[in-house]
Amino acid sequence: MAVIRDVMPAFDLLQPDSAADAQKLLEQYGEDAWVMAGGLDSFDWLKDRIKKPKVLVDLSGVEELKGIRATSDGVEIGAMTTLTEIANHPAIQRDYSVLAQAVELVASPQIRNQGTLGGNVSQDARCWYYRGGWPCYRAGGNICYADTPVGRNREHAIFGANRCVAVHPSDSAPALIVLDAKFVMQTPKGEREVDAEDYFVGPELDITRLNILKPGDLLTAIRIPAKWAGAKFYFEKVRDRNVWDFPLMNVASAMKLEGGTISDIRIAVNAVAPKPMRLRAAEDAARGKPANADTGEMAGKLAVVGAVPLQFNGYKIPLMRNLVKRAIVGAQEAA
Amino acid sequence: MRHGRPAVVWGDTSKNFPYTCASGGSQTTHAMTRAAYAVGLECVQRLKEVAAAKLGGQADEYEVANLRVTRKGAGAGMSFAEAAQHAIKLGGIYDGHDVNPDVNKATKQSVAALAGQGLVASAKDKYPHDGDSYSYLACFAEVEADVETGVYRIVDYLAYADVGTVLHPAALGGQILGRSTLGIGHAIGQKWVIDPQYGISIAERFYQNRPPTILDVPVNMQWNALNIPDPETPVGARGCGEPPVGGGCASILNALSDALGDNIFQRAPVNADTILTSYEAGRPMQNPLLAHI
Repeated sequence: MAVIRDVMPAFDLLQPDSAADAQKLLEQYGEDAWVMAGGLDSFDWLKDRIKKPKVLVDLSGVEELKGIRATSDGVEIGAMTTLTEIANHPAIQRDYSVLAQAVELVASPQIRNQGTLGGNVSQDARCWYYRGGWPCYRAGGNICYADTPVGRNREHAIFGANRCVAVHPSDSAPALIVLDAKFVMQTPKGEREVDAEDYFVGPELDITRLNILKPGDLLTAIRIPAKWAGAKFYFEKVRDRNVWDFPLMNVASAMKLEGGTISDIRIAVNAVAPKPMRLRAAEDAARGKPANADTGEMAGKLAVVGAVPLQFNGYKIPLMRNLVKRAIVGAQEAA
Repeated sequence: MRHGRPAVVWGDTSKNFPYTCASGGSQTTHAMTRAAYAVGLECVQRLKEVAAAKLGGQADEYEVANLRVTRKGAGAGMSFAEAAQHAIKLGGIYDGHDVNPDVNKATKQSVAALAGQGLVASAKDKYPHDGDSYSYLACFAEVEADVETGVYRIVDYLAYADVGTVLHPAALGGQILGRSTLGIGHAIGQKWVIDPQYGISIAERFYQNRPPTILDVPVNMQWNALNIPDPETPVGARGCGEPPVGGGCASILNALSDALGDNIFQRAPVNADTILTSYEAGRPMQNPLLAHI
């Protein structure tokens, strides 16, 4: 079990100053390497002495991974850009406000000053059993402690469970999905770019990871195309406290309207499944319909079809239904 | 006496402090002010006696004010420093070579250690005491609940205290609102989580057991106090450490109950999941807690 000793296991600290060097080091040390961005995820693991990497590759000195740059088609955000910088960036606020809103709701001001976008999308599951060092499926064992008749699972998954019932904890991920962002990685085989929703993997594919990064891979940037710039956005995060809390659930939407009719829409939710969910069925059903409460309710009902609640998280079904409704019609109109 | 004129010395066992009750149980203000009052009166009496011995007359012909002890009617007088000097000359009960026989053994040792350094007074609280010395609060809260998400926020809060005489308004206000926040935390989220199968706590970090944050309390929390002296102490003051905790918690829970309906929740903390589950089912869905888990 996790005992906080605040003494990290010994490791070699490697501090590259270029993305190429960082990727080379990750490739060289493979499974033995731990990549650290802002450290908010890493230090929990290390100080609890649950993860004991041989080398730690600290990205904080890699300047080229920081900053927000305009591209010919939108913006590119370096993976090491802090959440605070993104939340305050004028172009993000103007054109992609759903992302500014999402990252501003992450944790606390102190954590946003230190936490990075790359870290926020790549952080590990927050299931308290897994985080506590329990030898569960995700940790390489053969049991899920949360998915039992008495397991404490109010914060766990209603979709996509496969042995593991942990949810993906990121607030920025659904916003990036609705913006159709591309995740850029440096891998041993060169640069690779994937759609935001394809960056994340569920336990049916790999129960030990929440994303596609393999040893030797480095997430370098997130590119946001101009396609959804200035669309009608919605983001809402439901949490137990007003600051410094992971989502019980969050929802993001980007919508294009012609008259009062939805010409195009993307909706994504997180903290309902082991990976952020894009709600394609709800999107398809809403497209071509008026952006009103009826459409919102219809999309909400469609979104929760197939949900399988655990003992203590049945509330997530009405919560998801209502949040999807608001993602289309807004909080005020929905009430 | 002007604020800041007495030197405030932090506790240290090497500094020959008197015995005192423990600081806790919300009794500190009540108990310590009585003892301080007793030794204050003792000190005044000794000052008058020293002045009478030096300047003539009876002790009760003197008065103590403005850091001086003077003969009533604008007569002769001396400063505290001069009185302390003369107390050393007099010795005995005046400079600590003798000690008040009523005081605690530890206080006697301290007086002996300080003896001969000035006017040293010691006394014990022997004032009568009838009944209990609890403080009381009436707390009021207003909440706003979103029945589509189960999320609620506290929009207004007032705590009205009956703590006897108000000694220090700013400190009392901090105590009342600070402890109210602890109670609000109990109502809105702070909890431990224990796996009942294994009996192990699984909410070990602050992001898991969720103590309240500054953004969880109303922006403009208010407090006030009746300021009615307690007749059972010469100072009139009572402590106010814990009482706002219960008031803070219960006022939030009562406001929630009023807003949401009866029995929507049957234990604290009350979170979005409980509210939403009951609203979705159209009836209360939470059972009272049968075991402390």
